[in-house]
Amino acid sequence: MDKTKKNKPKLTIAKLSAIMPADELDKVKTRLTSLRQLIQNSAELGEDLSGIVADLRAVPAPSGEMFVFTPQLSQNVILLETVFRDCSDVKFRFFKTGGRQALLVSLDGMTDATALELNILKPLMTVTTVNSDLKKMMEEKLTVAALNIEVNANSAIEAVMSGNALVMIDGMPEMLAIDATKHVKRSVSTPVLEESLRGPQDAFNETLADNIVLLRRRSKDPNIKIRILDVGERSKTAIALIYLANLVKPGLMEEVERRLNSISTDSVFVSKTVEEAIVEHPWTPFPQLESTERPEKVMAAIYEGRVGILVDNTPASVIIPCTYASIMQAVDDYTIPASVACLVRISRHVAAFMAIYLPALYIAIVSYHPGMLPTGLAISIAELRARTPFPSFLEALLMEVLLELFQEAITRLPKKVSSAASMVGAFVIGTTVVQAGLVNPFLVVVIATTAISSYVMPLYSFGLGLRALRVPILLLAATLGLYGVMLGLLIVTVHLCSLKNFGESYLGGMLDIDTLADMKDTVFRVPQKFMKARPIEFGAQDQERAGDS
Amino acid sequence: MTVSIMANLEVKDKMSVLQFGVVMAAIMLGAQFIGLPTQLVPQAGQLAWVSVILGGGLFFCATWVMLKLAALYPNSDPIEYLPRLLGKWLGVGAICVLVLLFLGVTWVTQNQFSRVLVFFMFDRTPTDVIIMSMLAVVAYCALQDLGTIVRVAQFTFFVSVAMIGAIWSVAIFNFQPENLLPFWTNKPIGVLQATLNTWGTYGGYEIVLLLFPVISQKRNNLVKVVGIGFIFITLISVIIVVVTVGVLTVETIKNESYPTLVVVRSVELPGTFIERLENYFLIAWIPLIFNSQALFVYMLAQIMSRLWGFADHRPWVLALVPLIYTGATLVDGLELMVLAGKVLTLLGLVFSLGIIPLVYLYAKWKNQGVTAGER
Repeated sequence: MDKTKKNKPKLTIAKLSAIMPADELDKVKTRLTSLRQLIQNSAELGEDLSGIVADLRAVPAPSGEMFVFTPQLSQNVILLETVFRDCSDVKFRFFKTGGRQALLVSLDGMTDATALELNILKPLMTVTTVNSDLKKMMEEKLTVAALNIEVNANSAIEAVMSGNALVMIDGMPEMLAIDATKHVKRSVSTPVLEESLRGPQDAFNETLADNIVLLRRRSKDPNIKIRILDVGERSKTAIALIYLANLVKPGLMEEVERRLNSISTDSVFVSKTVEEAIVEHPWTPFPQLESTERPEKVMAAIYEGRVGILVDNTPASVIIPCTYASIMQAVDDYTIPASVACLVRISRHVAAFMAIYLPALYIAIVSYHPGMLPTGLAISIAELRARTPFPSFLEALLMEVLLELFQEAITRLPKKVSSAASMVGAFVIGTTVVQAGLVNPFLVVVIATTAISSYVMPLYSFGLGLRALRVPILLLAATLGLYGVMLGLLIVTVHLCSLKNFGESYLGGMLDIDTLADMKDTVFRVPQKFMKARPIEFGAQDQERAGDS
Repeated sequence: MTVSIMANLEVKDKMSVLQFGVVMAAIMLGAQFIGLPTQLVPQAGQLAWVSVILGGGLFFCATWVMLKLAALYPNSDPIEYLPRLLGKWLGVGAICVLVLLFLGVTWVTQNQFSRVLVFFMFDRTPTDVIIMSMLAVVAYCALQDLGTIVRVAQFTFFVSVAMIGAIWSVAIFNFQPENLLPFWTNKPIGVLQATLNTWGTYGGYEIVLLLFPVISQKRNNLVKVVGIGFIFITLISVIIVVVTVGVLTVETIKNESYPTLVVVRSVELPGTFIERLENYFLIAWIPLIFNSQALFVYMLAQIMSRLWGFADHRPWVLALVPLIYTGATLVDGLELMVLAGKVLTLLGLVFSLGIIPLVYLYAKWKNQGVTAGER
């Protein structure tokens, strides 16, 4: 017992600071203060380091790009919201995929919402784990036909504005651009400006994809190539170049592409903008590129070694190069017997001449050379003219002005009103002006014939060009009589021959001795079995039409 | 099959052999045929057509010699090789003869053209108005590149020839074959003298010297094409002379300044819409004058620009226009016109039958200008 007591340790109570002098309260307080200071310094240091790391991580956007997407979805959202600020039609749809935050960006009304729900949202939202390889996920999970991976900010934004949907997943700097474009558009309908009796009845509309289909459907030739370019700094309008790889005139395609790429414009809404930008003589009244809404006309041109251009949002396609002879060809020439087509075509050339020169010839003969007329007719005209107070030139000018006014009014007015306006026009021009003694009836016949002649032109803008020259030639006729008309004719001929349209002379090929063989389809229209060679003028690589032997 | 011909304007300064043939015919068929019978009939009588044929042969030979000379220097024009071959002064002198010849032709043609037009169409209009207006259009054409001018020339040539041919064909209604009799002459010298006078009809073929380097492709057919061109002009001239003599008789022609137009005027087509045919004929003639003048002015501008080291011919076109206008107005009066015609014919004959054959023989003898690279 005593041993037990002896072995029992002696318990002594003392102050902790006495036992652990290093841990006394004051010192701990001092250390704590130091620690707090240290933590504060560390936090500041951490912030600085974070800033440095952030700066190091941030890659500067390449020139011409707005920004660079980061792996953090939240940051990308901020960037996109900045770009699409005040664009209420841009929709942001957040969702979860495999536990990660994801975002679907689309343009309301331009995308197919049902397709996106079924083919994008549904598969992605049912995924349990997200594969970090976007390409693999795209191949395994998504059922959309057309989609691609996008990393470039400009391309991604352009894709959204074109009607594509954008899918972004947190942790991935790449995104998916899904082609689900669906918007309101005009269906393929009959030609409005170039009607044909027996030709095809489908015409281009405003949608580039539809127009390309209309061309592809007409030929299964894999040599038909379609190259798409974007023109317009802001509008980014899609322009399709269509050509036959083994037939197109050497160098033509490259030259067209070069000129298109050098177009410096803000926006392109009509094909005329492209036309004016690439032609060499923008001031001439004559159309230098052929414009058509008929797909078969474009295809026929492509098979002659020419190049077709389709511009998105416009039904008027462009054919390059274009000459006077090609303008005078109409689709119906090839759907009627060749002999009749020959007569029609010759009458069209005569009409082109009359559309410019007929009033001028009238003025010249009546004012300067009445002796050229048969005596009876000369007396008859003299009688009629005696009833009007104006000189024949002023009479003609008055009629020209009236005609132009009525034509312009009828073009601008709605259809229902324009028919009434044309009635008024016909009444005023045909009857009242004569009854009022302002113009003699013979001149009315001349001007009406001239107007009808200009309507005969297969290309409306060519008719406008002819109309534009009528008054200057009229002036020459009033000044120098028939000699003046001939001078006008020569000036117009020189001008038309000097117009170089991607290497072709506008008029010069018509009676060029080297291309006289082309007359079989320019001045005349011989039966198809005799048209075994392509037009020499357009310089196709292969002159023989394949299969024609 | 690859296109090997000049299908388009891309090659602006080249032309094919066929195109050259048409251009040569266009420049030859200018103003002269209006007064051609008056020039020949006083000397050759009813056998003026023989003079035309002989003239065609003679000037074709002259052109053939020019082709041979040009072939010695296939890549150069005479402005380059003549001074090299003959020395600076002689070479430039020969070129000056050509310049004077072309300039003189433009003066006389413009004057004759304006007189005819005033006489038949505008009796109260000064000739200066006609000359100035025509020169303005000619200058506009000559300011273009060769490719354009070649196409304009072809277009207007074919259209004009078709129109003139159609109008002229109606003269057959007044044709009296007995006016061509007898088929023999007791003045063969007169026929030969008239042959030399046909230079005015064929003048212009000298352009072959200037255009030879720009004729592309193989030139094997060039002589044949030039020959066809001469046959064409000869044929037209023979038809004009024969029909004019047949309609008007030799004695009447001697007193007419413009017998060709009188022939057309004499045709009456009662009951038809068209009555006064001479105006239609003149209208069709205007493009031929224009063609010929535009080509002469272009050629002159080319010669001058090369002579003075200009890269572009256009300033010289503008410089030549006032010179041509002044010359055309100064050659006034019938006597002066006749004199100018004689001087030009003499100059043309000296150049074609004197200078060029001698230069060719000298070049052939010297055979120095031919280098391996040029041939």
